[in-house]
Amino acid sequence: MPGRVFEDDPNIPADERLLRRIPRTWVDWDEHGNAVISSAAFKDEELSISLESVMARDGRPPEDAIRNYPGYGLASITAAHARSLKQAVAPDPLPDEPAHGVVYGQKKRGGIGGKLRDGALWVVRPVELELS
Amino acid sequence: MKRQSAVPSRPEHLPDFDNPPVVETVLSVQFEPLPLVQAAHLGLLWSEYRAAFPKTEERPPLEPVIEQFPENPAARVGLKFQALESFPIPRFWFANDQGSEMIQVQNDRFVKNWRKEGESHRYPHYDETIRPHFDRDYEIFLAFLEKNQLGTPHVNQCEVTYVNHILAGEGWEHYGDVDRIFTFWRPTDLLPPGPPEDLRLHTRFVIPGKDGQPIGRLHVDVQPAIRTSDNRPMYLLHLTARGQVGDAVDFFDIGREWIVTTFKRLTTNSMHNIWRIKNDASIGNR
Amino acid sequence: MPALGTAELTVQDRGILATSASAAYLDYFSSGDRLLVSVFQQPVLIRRQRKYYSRGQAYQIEWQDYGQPLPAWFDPLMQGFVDLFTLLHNWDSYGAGPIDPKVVHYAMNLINGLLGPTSPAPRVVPLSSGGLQLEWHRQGIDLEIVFDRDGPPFFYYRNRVTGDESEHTLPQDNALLRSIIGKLD
Repeated sequence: MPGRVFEDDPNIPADERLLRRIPRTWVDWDEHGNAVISSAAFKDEELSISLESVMARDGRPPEDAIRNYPGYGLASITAAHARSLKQAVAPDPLPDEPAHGVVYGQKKRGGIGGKLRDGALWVVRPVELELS
Repeated sequence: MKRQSAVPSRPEHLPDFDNPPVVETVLSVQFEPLPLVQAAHLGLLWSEYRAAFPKTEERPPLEPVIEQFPENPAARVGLKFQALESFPIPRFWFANDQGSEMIQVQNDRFVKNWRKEGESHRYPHYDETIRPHFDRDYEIFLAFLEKNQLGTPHVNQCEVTYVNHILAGEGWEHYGDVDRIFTFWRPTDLLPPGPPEDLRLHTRFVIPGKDGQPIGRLHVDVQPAIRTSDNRPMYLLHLTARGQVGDAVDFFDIGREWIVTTFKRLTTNSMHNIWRIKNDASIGNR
Repeated sequence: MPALGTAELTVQDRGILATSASAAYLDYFSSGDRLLVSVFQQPVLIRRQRKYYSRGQAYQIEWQDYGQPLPAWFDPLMQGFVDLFTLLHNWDSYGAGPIDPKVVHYAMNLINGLLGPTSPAPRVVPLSSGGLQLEWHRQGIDLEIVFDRDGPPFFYYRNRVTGDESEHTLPQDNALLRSIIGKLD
């Protein structure tokens, strides 16, 4: 899994929205029906995200990041928030996703994953379904 | 694949008896489950032992057990999930005709049992018989796994058991004669409670490794019983040492040393004479 | 639970805890040569099973205990573990593989020894790395226990009211974890 090391790219502005797909298994619904994200969603050392500005440049709305993932939610954190938790933010375009980027750094210990989650906002909320 | 080291000769400091009350000895090695091993493989394994162990039976598998430090006593033990389209792999027994030796195999355990054949027979000694025969039969098992590409066992626990039948009429008469047999009982004639009617005991001891950290436990069980062949009263003294050191079966020697030494220290000198102790080494006793 | 007419508690009521002393002995030959005589009610471990369904698959959990009633957290917790077993490849949409069954079994047995009869059930959440975490968010407390393949389990505690936060390795700090879980009741 690990193997690559990413350097922070200062060309990514502080207010850049970093979009993260959230499967239902990472979501808990509280007694008011609010969808709460688990810190587990933000614990990968090499955390995959989509750079909203790159998607916008290509005429793609943010929701396009989950077009192939029905039922998934979409959350965003800012580059500033990630950097405040000692994470590097870097582009990593892929053939099937030119907007792909990485938030790189240790997240499992020290509650970092949870603090990243605390700064996350819903762009698209997941649909609450019962598992069969 | 790890192979067992050569079995050393009997350590001189260990107590030795000409006629100890041991009736059964067990060596068990437990390892991480081998996912490729199916019941059919264990059936095929029997052909490797069949000449010496012609009898076979299928039994439910033994639950895994590992001595934990610190221990976490739980209301439920051995939780495990199983997909319902698969069935538990059974335990297979391979026994000899005389009913004195047995191999038990399942996908996470290899066990060898020896029984003392009749009162007049000498019981099989650890260094001469038990350990070399275990190593021989376990090597056959390992070779079978390798030949059939079924994986390599990663040992996580070893267990040594000595079962003793301490018969009445040899140094004691009644179940209440506990202090004639065991060193840990302090008799009193004062009423209450007066002399005991009988004794049942379970106690555990932590076995430390060379660095002082725990590597296992010794379980000691004492219960009154009756020998079914002639209704003769006896005390069952059951000692099991369970633990792990390294990644092979080196714990066997440590467990055996703990069992033999503890057996001597928990039993009285008069019983030692009845069992014909051969070397009364400097280990103190009451 | 049977009505108690006396001060006696049943074996199940007493909540006798199983230790390695409950493990079956391996002798066989000699057990046929003897009859135990002391009339002594020893608690006996019994095998139990329960089925759970997830994503069209059925799983059965087996364990041994003394027949005591199951606590309220048992079913939701075990269902959570079964839901991990049935996650498909790429469940996180970023290439995650299945959750390691050894990690699941380890977590299941560890947490079983830490939860009290009235403890709230944790959420069982998968990690993209193949591990899992158990988490509670109650009364201003965030408690997460992380189990993964790359090291010993640990737990992270944060009190959102006081700002206190700390991290501890298991099983060394089992006692502290048990105490924190006890305050979540």
